[in-house]
Amino acid sequence: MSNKKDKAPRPSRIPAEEWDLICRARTGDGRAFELLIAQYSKRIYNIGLKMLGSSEDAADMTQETLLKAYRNLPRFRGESAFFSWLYQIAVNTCRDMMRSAYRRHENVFSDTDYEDAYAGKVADYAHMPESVYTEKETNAYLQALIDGLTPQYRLAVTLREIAGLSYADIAEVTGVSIGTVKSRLSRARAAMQKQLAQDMEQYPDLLRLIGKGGVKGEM
Amino acid sequence: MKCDEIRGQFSAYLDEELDAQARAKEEKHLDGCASCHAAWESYCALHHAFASLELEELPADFSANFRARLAKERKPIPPKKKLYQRAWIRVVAACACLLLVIGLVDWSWPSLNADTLNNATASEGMPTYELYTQDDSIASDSSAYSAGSNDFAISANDGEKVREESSNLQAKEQDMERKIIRNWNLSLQVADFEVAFDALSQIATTYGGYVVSGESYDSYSNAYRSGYIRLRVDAGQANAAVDEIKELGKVENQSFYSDDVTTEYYDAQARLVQYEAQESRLLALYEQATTVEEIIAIESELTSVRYEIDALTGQLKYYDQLTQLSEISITLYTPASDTQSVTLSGWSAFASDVRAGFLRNVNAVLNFFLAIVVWVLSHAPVILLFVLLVLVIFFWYKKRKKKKNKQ
Ligand SMILES: [Zn+2]
Repeated sequence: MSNKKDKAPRPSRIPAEEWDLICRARTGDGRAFELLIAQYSKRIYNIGLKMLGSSEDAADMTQETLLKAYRNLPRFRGESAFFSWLYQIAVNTCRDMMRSAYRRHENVFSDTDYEDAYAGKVADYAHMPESVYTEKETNAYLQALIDGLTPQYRLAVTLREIAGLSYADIAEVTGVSIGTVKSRLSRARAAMQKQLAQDMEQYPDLLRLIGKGGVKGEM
Repeated sequence: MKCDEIRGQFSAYLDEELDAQARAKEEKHLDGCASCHAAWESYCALHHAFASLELEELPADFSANFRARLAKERKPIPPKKKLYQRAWIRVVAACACLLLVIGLVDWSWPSLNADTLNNATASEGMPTYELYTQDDSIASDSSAYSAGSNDFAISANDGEKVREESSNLQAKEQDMERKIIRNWNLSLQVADFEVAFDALSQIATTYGGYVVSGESYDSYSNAYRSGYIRLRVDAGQANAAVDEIKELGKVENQSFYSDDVTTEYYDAQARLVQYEAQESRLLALYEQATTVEEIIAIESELTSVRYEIDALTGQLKYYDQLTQLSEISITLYTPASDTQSVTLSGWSAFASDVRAGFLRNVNAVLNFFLAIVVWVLSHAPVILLFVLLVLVIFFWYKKRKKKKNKQ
C-alpha cells in the first residue's frame, strides 16, 4: 500500500534535478522528457550527421533514439550517467541504420558482419568526392575525412571531436576498453593527418580552411 | 626512435588523457625537439578545426514532429518489480488478511459458519462437485469442449498479435534469430486408452523430449474414459511428432499457437552483457581497493550485480528451453470398459447422457454463484469493517506522505 513506486531512490551518479525529470518522464510526462533531452538532442543529431552523412538519416536516427529512450526510461537505473546511457542508444541506433544501409547497397546476400567487413582497415580515401576541395567549406572537408574512416574509427572520432566525450565515457558508450579507445583515436587521427597532408599538397587552399590557428595550445 | 614514441602519444596528449608522468615526458621532448614540435602543431590543427565547427541545428520541424510522435506514445512500461513490490502480491496479501479475519470470526461464532456451509452445498451434497463437472464436460459433451477449445485458440492468437505489434519495430530492424515458443493442442479419440498412452510416451522420447504430465479420469457415468497428457519434444521435430500423434486416433480438434519472445530474449541478453561488463569492472576495482570501506562497498555492489546476472541467465535458460522444446497437449478420450451400454442403447442413450450432464453442469454453476452471493452477504459486516480499516490506513499514509513532501 505504498505510493512511492514512481519515485525510486536517486542513484548517486545522477544529479537531483535530472533525476526528478527522469522520474516525471517515466510516468508519461512528455514535457519533462523534452526538458530532460533538450541539451542532448542537438549533439545526438550531430553525431548522426557525422556517422550517417545525411541530415534526413541523422534526424531519423535522433527521433528513433529519443523514442527508444522514452520507452526504456523505466529500465534506466542510473548505473551510468544519463547522457552516457542516451549516447549508447544513439550509437546502437546508428549501427543498426548503417548495417541495414550496408546490406541494402553493398552485398545483400552477404552474411558477414558489417564491421568485420572492414577488419584491420582504418580508412579508405579512394573515393574522396572532388567537391569537398572546390566548395571550400571546412565542414564539408572534415565530413569527408570522417566519412572515409571505417565504422569503429569513425565512431571514436565522432564521440571525441563532436560529442566531446572523455576516453572513459567513449569506452562506456561503445562497450570497449579505454585502451582500445586510445589506440583507435590515435590510428584514426594518423590516417586523417596523412590524408590531410596529401590533400594540402594538391590543394594548397585547404591550408586556409584547416589553418594552423589555435596552435597556441591549451595544453 | 624516441621521436616516434613521442608522436605515437600525440593523440592521448591532445585529449589530456595521459598520466602525469607521460605528460611530462611529452612536454619535455616537445620543448627540445624542433621537428616534433612542428609535427605537433600540424597535429593540433585538425583537432582545432573540429573544435571550431559549430554544431548544426536540428531541422526546423524536428521539435514539432517529435512532440507529435511522443504524444502518440503510450506511457513507458515499467520493468517487472521485485516480488514484494508487485501489485498483485499486495492484492493477494490483502485477500489473505481478509480471509484470515473472516476465518477467525467464523471460528468464534460457529453457528454462522454452519449456516453458510449448508447453503452452499446443500443442494448437491457433494463438496468437490466443480472438479468433477469439468471432467464430465470433456468426456461426455465433446461439442461443448471443442467450442471452448476454439475460443482458446483465438484468444491465444490475439495475444500474439498484440505482442507482435509492440515488438515489431525493434525485432525487424535488428537481424537476429527469432525466438518463438510453439505449442500444439490436440484432442484425439482413440480405441485403446492404455495403448495410446504408451505410444505417446514412446513418441516423446523418439523426438528428443519427455512426458511432462499425464492423468486420466473415468466419467461419472463410467461411459467414457478421458485423459490429458502433455509432451515436450524437440522444436525442430515437433511437426513430425504431431503428425505421428495424429495417426494414433481420430483427430477431433486441434489448435496451434505461438508466442514470439524475440524482443524479451535479446533484451535480457543485452542486459546480461552489460551486467557482466559491470562485474568485470567491479572486479578490477576490487583488486585496487585499499580500504575496508571500499572493499565492503564493492562487495555489496558485486553481490547485487551477480544476483542480476543469475536472474538473467535463468531467464535466458528458461526461454531457451521453451523455444527449443515445443509442448504438445493431447486430450484423449475413449469409450471405456463399460462400452456395452452405449453401443446397445445407441444414440438416444448418448443424447440423454449429454442432456443429463449438461443440466447437472448448469445446476452446479448456478449453485456455485448462489453460494458466493450467500457467503458475501453473510460476511458483509466483517468485509465492511475490513475495507473501512484499509481505507483509514490508506488515507492516513497518504496524508503523512503529503506532509513529508511539503517539508
Ligand atoms: Zn622529436
